[in-house]
Amino acid sequence: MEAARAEAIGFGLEASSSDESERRLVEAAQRGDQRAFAQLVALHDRRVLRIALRLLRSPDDARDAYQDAFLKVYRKLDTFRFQCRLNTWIYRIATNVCLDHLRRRKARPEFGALETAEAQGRSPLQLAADARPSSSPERVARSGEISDRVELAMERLSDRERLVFTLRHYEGMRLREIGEATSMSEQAARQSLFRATRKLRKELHDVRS
Amino acid sequence: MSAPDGPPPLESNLLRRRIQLYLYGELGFAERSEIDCWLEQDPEFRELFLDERAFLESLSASALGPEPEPLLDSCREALGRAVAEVPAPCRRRSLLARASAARSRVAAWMAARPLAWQAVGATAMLAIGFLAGRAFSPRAFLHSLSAPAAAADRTLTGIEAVRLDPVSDRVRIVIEERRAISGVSSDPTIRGMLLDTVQGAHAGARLTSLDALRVQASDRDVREAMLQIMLGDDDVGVRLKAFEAVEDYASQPDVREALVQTLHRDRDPGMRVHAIQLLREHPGRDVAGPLQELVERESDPLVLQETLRILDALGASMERY
Repeated sequence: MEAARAEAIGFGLEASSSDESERRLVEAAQRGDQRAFAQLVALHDRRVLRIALRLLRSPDDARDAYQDAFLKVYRKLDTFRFQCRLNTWIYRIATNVCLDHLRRRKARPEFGALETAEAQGRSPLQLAADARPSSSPERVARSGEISDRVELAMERLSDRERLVFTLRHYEGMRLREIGEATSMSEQAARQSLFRATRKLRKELHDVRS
Repeated sequence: MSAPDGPPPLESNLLRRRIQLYLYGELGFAERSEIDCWLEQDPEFRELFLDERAFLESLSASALGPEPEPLLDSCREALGRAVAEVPAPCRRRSLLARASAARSRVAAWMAARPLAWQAVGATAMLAIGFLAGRAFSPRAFLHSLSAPAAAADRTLTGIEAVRLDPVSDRVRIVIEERRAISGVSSDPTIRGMLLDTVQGAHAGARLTSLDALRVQASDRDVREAMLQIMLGDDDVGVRLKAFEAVEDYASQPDVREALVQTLHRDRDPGMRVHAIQLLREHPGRDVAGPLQELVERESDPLVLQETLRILDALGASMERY
């Protein structure tokens, strides 16, 4: 029964990118249309998962954060009144969920998944992608050398610095968008970015591509 | 960074920040131009720029990797199952329903209580009404009302007047409305509007309407409208268009009568030439008299020559007796 309902939700649907069609999808989802919600998820979940992987550095934690974030989106969707762009609203929820996960994780003594990933010298993104047939062992090993150093350097950053750097450098979001998505001013986001790059430069002074 | 057109002597970290913002596309046009200028003219700044770019590229290169597709698929499946177990997000509506049910319960309770208790009940009902009003979002309701209709073909272009009847408290608003209607010219509504338009003020609309009506020139009312245009429109282009629309019916008495009138009344030589040539293609004794009359007063040599030819072909005299 559950499987049939999940199938009906249709999470593999192609998504339209225009603002107007997205607005219609939001309105339909607010009326309880689960297919519309599935299409909204398909529009934004790839980036949410990437952000979660980069911040949490554990596929299992990223999967949990993904689910927590989109369930919150689903439950709160009827309160969304288009005061901001939908993606900004989703990323705000997702980044808050990730930061909560990081806070909870710090309270835990063990750091299982992350330690496993680092011990293998592969980033969580690479671990998550290992199941793909195109991921050759040589490619994983080559990129893993630099990636491992960057992962360790990123570990030295504060949660907020890592969040801002990830959104700006890896996700290509504008500082203004980052400010909106993380509930900070654009200036504060800019300062976090500068601090993050200064620390990374210090840690990685001998690494060049 | 000592070149005359180079950057001011800033700390290396501050320059790196500027370069970083430049590389991330966060600078405005003027600031970008300034960096471009320093790059061209200051080798020391260029070296710093290249170093910063190489550093950021090294971070990007290290992050390059395939998309986590298998993980994404499993996340979507899990989310699909989780969403199916969560009730639909209709929290506000259910609050309203709950408030309404509570109000009914309080009303039933009040009916069975003494008067003093009923005052307490009334206060409770007011509170429930207040909370229900807050829970129900009128914005969402208004928004659904304002959603555009699927086949909307009209726009409001202005409000001409607003009148308030103070007795009934009713408002009358006179609105100027712009509508777009489409369909085939044989559609009764379209046909009627085209017949109105051929007598309208806009010459371009008259021309297009005549074109659209041309296929219906066999209809008496349509042809009558066209002949009126042919004889009376101020614009010679529109008169010519009406002429072309009826030329296939040159053997019809109403059209022949209009052609003769054109020869006598139209000031445009081109129209008169067209009329006489059409009559020459469709000669008949019925036009002999008017043509004899035309010979006496026609000044255009081509029209006169054609008229004489027709009279000759008809075996009619060149003069009226």
